[in-house]
Amino acid sequence: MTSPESHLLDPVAAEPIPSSLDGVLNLPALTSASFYIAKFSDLVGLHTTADLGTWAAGDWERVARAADACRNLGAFSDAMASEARRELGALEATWHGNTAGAASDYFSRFADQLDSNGRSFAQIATQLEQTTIGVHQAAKAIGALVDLAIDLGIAFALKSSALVASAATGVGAAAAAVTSPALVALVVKGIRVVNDILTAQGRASALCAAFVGAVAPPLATLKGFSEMSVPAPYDNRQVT
Amino acid sequence: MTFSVEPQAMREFGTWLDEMTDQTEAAISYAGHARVDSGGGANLMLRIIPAVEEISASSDQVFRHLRDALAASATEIFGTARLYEDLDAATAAALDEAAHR
Repeated sequence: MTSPESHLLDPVAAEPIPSSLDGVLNLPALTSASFYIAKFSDLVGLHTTADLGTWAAGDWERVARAADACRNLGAFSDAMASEARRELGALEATWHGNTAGAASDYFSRFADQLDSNGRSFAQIATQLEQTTIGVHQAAKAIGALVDLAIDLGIAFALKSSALVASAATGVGAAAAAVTSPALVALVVKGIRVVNDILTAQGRASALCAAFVGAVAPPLATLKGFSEMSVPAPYDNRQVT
Repeated sequence: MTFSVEPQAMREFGTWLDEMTDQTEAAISYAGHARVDSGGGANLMLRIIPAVEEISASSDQVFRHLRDALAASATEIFGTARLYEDLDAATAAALDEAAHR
């Protein structure tokens, strides 16, 4: 039988998206102007739009490690419940009578409570993992969309300049620029990108709100463990 | 119910409770891994930090309560074993007959 303590392994942060797949997903970025601006910024030590995704996700690795820790605490509780039943079985084989019956009832409920704690920790761990993955993905999407917005901004500036430069005179150049179909298309794309950023942010917010609701029941169970009389310590009232 | 007891078996159970008390002490330290600081930043993950802090605090309380319950239960089991060793069989049986009614 596995000792409960053996489940208390150093918590690790599960990678939301494997690095190899993440690279494939980012391939379109290689063709964007913002990608090369980001690379140049990296070289000179400036913060880049890639950092934006990290900033938006926050310290997701720490939250992911907390999820793993909760899962391990659940396994600890499960293992102790199993051991408690095994040890109690050995005691029940040699101890009979009213006092033995009361002790048996007490330690059986004790093991049930440990099982319940194990389930609660596992539920919390699952919710933490799912939320971490969702928020991390939303943050990456926001980072990519900001890259796209920069690309659109650069394209808009280049096309505007070209239109102004190609005008026969300065008169009417600005009007020509704003009414150009190419520029209107860029503005429409820009609005869509902003909407997509807001959608991604809203999706992440919804995930966070759902997390708070989902962990409330298992959290209440854990709080109940500390507040209820079971398990108070075993008490043989004849022993002073 | 016919009364019978082997105090040595009770001591072994008490020793197991003591071991679990020590292991739970380790779990209290380990529960610190469930703590997540806000870090003072402003990001999407911050919205779940209050709930994670609550989970961390509850985890700490759960294992402290468990440790205290295990330690006190061990003391009680050892005390019960000692009681039965100090009494003759007939007195112990009479005591048990009157117990938990």
